[in-house]
Amino acid sequence: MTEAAKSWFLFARSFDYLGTTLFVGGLAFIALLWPDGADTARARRLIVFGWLCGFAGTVASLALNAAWVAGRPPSAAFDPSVLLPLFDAPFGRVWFARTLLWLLAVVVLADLSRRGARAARSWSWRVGAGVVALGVLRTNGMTGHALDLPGWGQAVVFVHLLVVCVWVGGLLVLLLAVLPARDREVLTAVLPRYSKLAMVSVAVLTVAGALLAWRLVGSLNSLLHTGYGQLLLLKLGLFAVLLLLGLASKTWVDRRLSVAPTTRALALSVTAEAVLAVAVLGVAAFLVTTGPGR
Amino acid sequence: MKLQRDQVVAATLVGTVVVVLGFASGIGRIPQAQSTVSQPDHHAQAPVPSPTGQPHQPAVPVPQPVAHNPVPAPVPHLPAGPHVPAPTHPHPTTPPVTTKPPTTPPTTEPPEPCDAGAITKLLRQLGLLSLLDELPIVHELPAGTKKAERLSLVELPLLGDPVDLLDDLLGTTCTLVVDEKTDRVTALLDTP
Repeated sequence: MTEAAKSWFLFARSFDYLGTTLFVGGLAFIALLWPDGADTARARRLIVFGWLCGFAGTVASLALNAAWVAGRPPSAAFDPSVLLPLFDAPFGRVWFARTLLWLLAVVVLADLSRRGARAARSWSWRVGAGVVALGVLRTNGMTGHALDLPGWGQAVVFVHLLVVCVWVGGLLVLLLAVLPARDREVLTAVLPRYSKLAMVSVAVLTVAGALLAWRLVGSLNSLLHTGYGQLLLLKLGLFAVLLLLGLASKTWVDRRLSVAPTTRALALSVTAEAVLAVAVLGVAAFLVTTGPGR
Repeated sequence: MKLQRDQVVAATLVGTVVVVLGFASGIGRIPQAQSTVSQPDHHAQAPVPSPTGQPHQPAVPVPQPVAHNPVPAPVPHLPAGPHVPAPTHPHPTTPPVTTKPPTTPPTTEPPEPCDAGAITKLLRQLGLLSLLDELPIVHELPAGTKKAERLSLVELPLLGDPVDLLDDLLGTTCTLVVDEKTDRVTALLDTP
């Protein structure tokens, strides 16, 4: 029963991660790189889809986490006798707060739908969207392994999550909203900006990830011989392939964007990147439920 | 300066997010150890055997068993996060609290030495001893360390049975020693 609840919890957590990445990354993409995208239905739908995944994933994770901890089957996840005591536990409050933050995000989405690009260009919307997005990300660092980390470690976790969202979320917006439009003008304006942002994100991600790996795993022995270490190795392997594909995409943008007749090659590369990135998010969901290797 | 509606909305969002994060951090809440809401401290120090041979009275009051609880109560000590797999719990609907007698029966027999090997094994299985091959036994508290309080064990990601088992293994003479800085278990203090 417990294992079933755990499996469903992992599934819900993956959805939560995907939604968070898409929502936070999508907002960042619109606010920083492509404000006009707020007027396109594709971009707005994608961000709303991210919100739905994040909200549903968070609520389901909250309930399934309660069932897992109480040793009950997944069917009892929404039972008040299982759910209510969770609010007395620190991590239950964090999950509840995260749910509230997702609800607050509705205000941000509503304003974006109403005013479109005008909202995306306004500082007030950017501040509101930014603070809600950062709040959602902060709650990630208030449960799981991050609790064992000192203050600097918590900051690193936060930065790690932020750059993952900016990079991978931006990648998904690029793939599902920018490239399908086949608007040369938009591509010429947005792709080089995203390329630079992705490079900075990957650099920060590498440093932050290395620091966290050192703190949570600690030794080569733990990396090779613990479940956590092996999952981390899998994640790093996928990340390495992702980097190679990212490099290929960047090279195409730098050399071929202005002369290539179609963007098919770039679309293929970005698709492969996006699939791998989603796989990495799935592995990350497993990592947070595995005891650290140290 | 006239405030626009979107600026008011943004400011409200900022304030609300701060409040929600404060709630998530537990700011303003009574610490759990002092909170009496269904949190009996059944992991208090094991009672010391009475040297007089009289029936033993526990030094710390042991909560009485709950008469009947028709609702499957949740486990009382939830882990701090979902990062450690929940241990297999043979009776998930039964609260592993306060319904058992003191782990050390009232007796005048000499205190049993603690089982260092079994404790080491248990701690290793719980992932609390990954840095040490063996748990050294000391008879005085080394510098830079402190005795582990039972309450801190409660906060570990354990559900009931492993904590009780650890209590049993520690017996009446042993205490875990933890590093003051890292809170990692570093030794076993044996004070016969």
